Amino acid sequence: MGIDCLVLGAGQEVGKSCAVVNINGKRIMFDCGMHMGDPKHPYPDFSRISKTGDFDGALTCIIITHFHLDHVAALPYFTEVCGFRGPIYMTHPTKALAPLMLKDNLKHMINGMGDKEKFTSDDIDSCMEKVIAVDLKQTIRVDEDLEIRAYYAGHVIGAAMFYARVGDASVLYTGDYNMTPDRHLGAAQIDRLPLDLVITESTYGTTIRDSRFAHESEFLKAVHTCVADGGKVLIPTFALGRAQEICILLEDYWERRNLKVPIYFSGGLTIQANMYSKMLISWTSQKVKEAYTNHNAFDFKHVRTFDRSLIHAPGPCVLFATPGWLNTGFSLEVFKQWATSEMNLVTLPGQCIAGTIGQKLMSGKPKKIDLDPETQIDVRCQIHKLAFSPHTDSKGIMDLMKFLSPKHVILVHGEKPKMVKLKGRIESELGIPCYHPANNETVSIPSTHYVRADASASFINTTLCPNFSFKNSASEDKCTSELQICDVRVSEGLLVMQNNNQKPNVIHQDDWSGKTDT
Amino acid sequence: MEQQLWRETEEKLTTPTTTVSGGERTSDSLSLQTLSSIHSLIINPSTSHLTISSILKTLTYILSLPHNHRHHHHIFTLLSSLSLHHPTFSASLSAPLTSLATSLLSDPSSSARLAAAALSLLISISAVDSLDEGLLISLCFRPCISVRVWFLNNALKFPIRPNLLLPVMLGFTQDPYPCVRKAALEGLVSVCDSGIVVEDSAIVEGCYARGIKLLLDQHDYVRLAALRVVSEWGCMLAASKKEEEEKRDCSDGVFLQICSMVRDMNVGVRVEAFTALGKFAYVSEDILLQTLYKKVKTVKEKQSLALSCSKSHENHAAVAAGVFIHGVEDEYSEVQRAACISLRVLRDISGGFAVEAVNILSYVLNDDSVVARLEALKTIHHMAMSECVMMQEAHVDMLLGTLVDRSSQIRSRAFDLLGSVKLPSLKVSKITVESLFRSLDIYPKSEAEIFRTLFNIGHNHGEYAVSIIKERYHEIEPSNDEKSGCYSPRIAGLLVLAISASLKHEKHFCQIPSRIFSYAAAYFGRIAYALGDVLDIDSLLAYLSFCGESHFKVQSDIRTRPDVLRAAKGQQEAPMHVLSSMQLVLATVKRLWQLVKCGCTNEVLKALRSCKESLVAIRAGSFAYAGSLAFAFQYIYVVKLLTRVWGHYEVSRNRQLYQTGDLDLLLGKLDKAVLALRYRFVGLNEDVELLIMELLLLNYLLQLSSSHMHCKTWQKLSTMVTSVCHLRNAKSIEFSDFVNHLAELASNGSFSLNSTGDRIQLKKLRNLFMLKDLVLTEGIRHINAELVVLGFDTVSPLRFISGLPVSIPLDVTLYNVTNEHKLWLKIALDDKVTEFVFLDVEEYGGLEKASRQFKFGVPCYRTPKAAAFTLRISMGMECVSEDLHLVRGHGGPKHALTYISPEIEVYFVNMNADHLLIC
Repeated sequence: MGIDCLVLGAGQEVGKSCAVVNINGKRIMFDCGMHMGDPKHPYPDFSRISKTGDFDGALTCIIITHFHLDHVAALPYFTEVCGFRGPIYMTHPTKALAPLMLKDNLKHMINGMGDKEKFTSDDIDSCMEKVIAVDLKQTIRVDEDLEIRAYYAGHVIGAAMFYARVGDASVLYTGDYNMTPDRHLGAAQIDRLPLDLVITESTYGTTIRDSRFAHESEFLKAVHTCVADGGKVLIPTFALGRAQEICILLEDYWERRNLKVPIYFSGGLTIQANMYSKMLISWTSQKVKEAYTNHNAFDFKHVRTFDRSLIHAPGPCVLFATPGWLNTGFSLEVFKQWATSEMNLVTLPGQCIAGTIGQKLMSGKPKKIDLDPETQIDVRCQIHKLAFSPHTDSKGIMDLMKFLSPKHVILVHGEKPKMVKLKGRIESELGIPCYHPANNETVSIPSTHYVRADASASFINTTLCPNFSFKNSASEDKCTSELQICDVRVSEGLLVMQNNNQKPNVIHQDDWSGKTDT
Repeated sequence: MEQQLWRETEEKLTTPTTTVSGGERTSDSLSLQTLSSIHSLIINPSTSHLTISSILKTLTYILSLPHNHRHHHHIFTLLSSLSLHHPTFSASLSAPLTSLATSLLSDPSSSARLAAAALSLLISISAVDSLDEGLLISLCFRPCISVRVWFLNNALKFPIRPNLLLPVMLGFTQDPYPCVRKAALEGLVSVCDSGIVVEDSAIVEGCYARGIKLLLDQHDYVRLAALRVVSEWGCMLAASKKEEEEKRDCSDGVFLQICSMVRDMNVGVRVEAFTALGKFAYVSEDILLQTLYKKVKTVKEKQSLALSCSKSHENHAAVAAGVFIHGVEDEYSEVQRAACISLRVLRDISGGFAVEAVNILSYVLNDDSVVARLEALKTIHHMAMSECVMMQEAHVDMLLGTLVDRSSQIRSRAFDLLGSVKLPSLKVSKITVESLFRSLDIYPKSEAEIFRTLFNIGHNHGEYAVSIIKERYHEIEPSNDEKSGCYSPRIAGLLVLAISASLKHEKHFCQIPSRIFSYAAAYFGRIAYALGDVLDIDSLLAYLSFCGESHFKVQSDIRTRPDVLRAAKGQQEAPMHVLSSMQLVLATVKRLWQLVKCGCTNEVLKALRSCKESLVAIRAGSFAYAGSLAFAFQYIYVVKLLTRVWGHYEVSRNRQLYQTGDLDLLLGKLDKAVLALRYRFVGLNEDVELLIMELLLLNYLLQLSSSHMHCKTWQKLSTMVTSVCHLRNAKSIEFSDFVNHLAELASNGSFSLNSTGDRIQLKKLRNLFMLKDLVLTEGIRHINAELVVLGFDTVSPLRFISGLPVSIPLDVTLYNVTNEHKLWLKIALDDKVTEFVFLDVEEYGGLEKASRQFKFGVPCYRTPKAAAFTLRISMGMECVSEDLHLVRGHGGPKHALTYISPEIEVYFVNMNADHLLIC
């Protein structure tokens, strides 16, 4: 008996997170994501779970950690196209928000996909009907042996780490998480559990980020200076997550500094997302929760809906527009208009996918950008790179591993060189064996296995009362000695396996002298 | 009653319901009812001693019975309330209880809980000293967990030597039950706290090592307790080291251990960790600095022993890395607060640390939690005060944001902070002052605090302050075309800055244009309110008036700073500066007239209000110039009314905002006010008299411009013009354009009753009017009267009989009234019925003195047929020159009256209407 971890996705890469973990015979699939940058192999190779396609027999359940597409987008395909019928677990906010993301993604589905790999909006709905929503710290008994529990992970609203236990073997799958709180979400929060294995993300396996306050101050200063000089600020973001965080930041700053400059949100999804955030207050950070009785932090006072006619309106303003990479849509449209003035400011998200305008702007400051052969944008505006990230940095990973001190660690969701370095640190600094399997590789680790045994009456009697043993141990490098007092009542017991009876038995050492037949 | 109850209870006890073996009483008879009877007897304070001692005897007897322990718990409860309510019996309790406890402890088969209960009772009557420590300790080796926890929690109350107790506690820190582990760890901490000095280093090391081990415990509360053990015993360990270097190493080691806990998932543990970090008296600078950076710094060649000697120095640095960043970034404000407080303490250890810490703290000022922002500000303040930190430009930038914070607490803290820190450059100072003004615009209520801050900034940075004032001088100067030239809190702020800079250094005093001080005197009211705590107001006033005067007298480059500010508070003689200060205020009023003409009515009204406040502040300083001050108040009142009338003309030209009635009302008030100015003051010099005449002329002219034409007004005006012309010709005095033009028009006949309808002419005349410089002398006296109705207050009214006259007993005090003045008492029943009573002052022995007090019975003849009525009484003085008979044929005054006393009210109740009085 042991734990086998088959990594189907996000092994030494970022994208299509999917890991199948076999704990004492129970097989759990953690996450079922899609690779957004690999149209040839968008889905994990599900055939490795079951060659015959009998997924119901091969998997006990699926657990989804959060609603990001690289963690959830393959789920409708797996349930509706591949035909998995078993239980699926995710948190309430994930269940509410995942269909929004999935349906939005349908529009941008990569053209190169074969027909077999596609699914429809109805598939999403019927898939979501099968989902069982769970609460934080709620222990769910999936079947007689398997129990799972969700812990707060930060990252995005509704993100959770999942703890799974079968008998004595237990595993934690972190999904994506954040160890420092941001403006709207708290830091990951988990109990100190005895764990055999932790499967952790390692996006920033080697980076150590500065103080969050520093980034915030820089950003606020840039925005304030721009609007104070009468400029316009364009903040291209995705609808959920960063948009809310930055908006809370700006809202708070506006309120404190008594600013009157309008903040606009464009696009229905963002407004819908704000509405969801408002309802999901219990999943936000402590401060937002505490302030909630007086004021819902997502009840933005200064925010208004943007109208297309306002693009050319005079005067300063701040605009949130989707998508975040400036590759298409409204954010690109506004960028074209506003980029030509030195007074204006465009902020860029931390990471942009190659080929987008966002990425071009990130790599140095180009003066001109060719949109298509006929259109050229004269970029004169200021550019500010956002340093916010919802992922934990390497210090956070180390802190969590140190706190949990599991017996084994598997790294996923990161680039190979970074994983190698992080693996080295975990092994050397914490002394925990660590693995970084590639896609479709399996890691097997031994698990704790407890044996049921009978105990003799005398042994039970002695364990009821403490029994101290004193020893003065001199530490190796120093000449000082320290007093050690241990409770030795359990060590007086002996595990006895009798020949005629396979049932093990624990007896007190005093009983031993009388036994001869073993 | 009580004895009967006890007898009955005792009887029940002695007649058992169950079979008694061997004829002995057993406690089987202790029913709940019996117990509660005993309890009520015990807690009743009137129960006699005899009964109590009898109860005590019975209860101890039951306890002494060997085998039946069933009801011992109840008896312990009863005994405990007995010892509480009747402490005198405690002594007799201790012996039987001690023996019982000893027997319970020495019998391993007895109930551990019962033994604990007995011990608990012994603790409450402080009679544990005679117990054997070995027996006591044996109690926690029994299987009962709750007793073990209880014993560990109370262990210090028992007479057990630390040498025995500590190993036991140490042993239980490894108990399988987390609650026992926690109790044992807490016991170790309380041993430390109780001041017991443990000399056996093996035990200290053992406890510390066990604490460290348990920092990894699975349970939050055990980790929390272990953290305390590490902190306390670590300190003890460090203190026990003999070599200085060892001590430091040890201290560093403990610090790092605690650092490793700041990333715990439990909030309580994190708060405790940060609190513990603040208790260190020594930590290596390298480690301290590392706590402010998340990135592990490269190892320097020469560094502290704790990092270099250790094999895994990088590990150690990694433990300390960014500890405080995590602290101030925490999700919970409790943790943020604890981290800030610790930073405050640790700044004493290393100067370099403080500088870096301010960087981080200044970021926290952007946090969304008020608690965190406030705590960060406090910490920065402490660091700034310790003078180990010089504020950087970037820091100040962040600080300035807090000046406009929503929370007033944070603003106050920021004001204090900015007043005390050293600003790095002129540029920063300028931004700071501007930010303070912005805060002033948004939160006018914080004016006093902001002025104090500006005062401190001027005091600390005289040169910067002088530059700022020079740069902003144009804002202070009133200008004709801009509204900004008018009074604003900003100007008062700049004046405060100028005052403080000039006070600090004489050289700064010379650099500041002296005109500023004369302005400052005008805004003295607000400034005095704000700086009352820092400066002596009288001396400040003297200082300002002296500086301001020099501006009027000589404009030389070489000025000397007056030393008046050192004058002691509470000077007896009348300070000379009061007059000159008034002069400065009145000069400001004159300057404001330009703005009235521009139509800045609201701004001028505000400025006049502040002038009035200044006068109030001046009055607070002295009584010697009461007459002059009263004149100045009245003058400002007249100017205020004029301003409002002017505003009326300006506005009504464009919009019909005001009703015509409003204007008439205003003009009526103005008329009264000018008359009061004319007649209620004596000892005015010629210039002032002329100014008053001009005001009278203007008053009549304005009345003519109003919609209602009055022949009387026209007559008054022409009489006045004639007398003024006469005066001009007789004394050949230079008159203003306004008077000259008016006289000219009157003399050539082009200005007549018929032509006054010519509004353009009137307007032209109006615009010619200018306020003049007023020179007040100390000889001005104010004619004033005080009236008090004797034997009357609101609850006991005067009585009357309807139709018969009544006498109102008045106590009259007159100030500066001479025999020439004709005084009348006006008694008004309602708007229609008014009586005038002449007050013949000569009858009362004349009025040679400046003030005189006498009693006077005022008759009121026409009492109405009513149950009750009210009379309003005031004292008027005939204005002799106003020779118009307003009230004819009733024997009343022959001239117009100006009222010299406030109006008082008297209530009368009919003799026959007693029911009105009973309520």
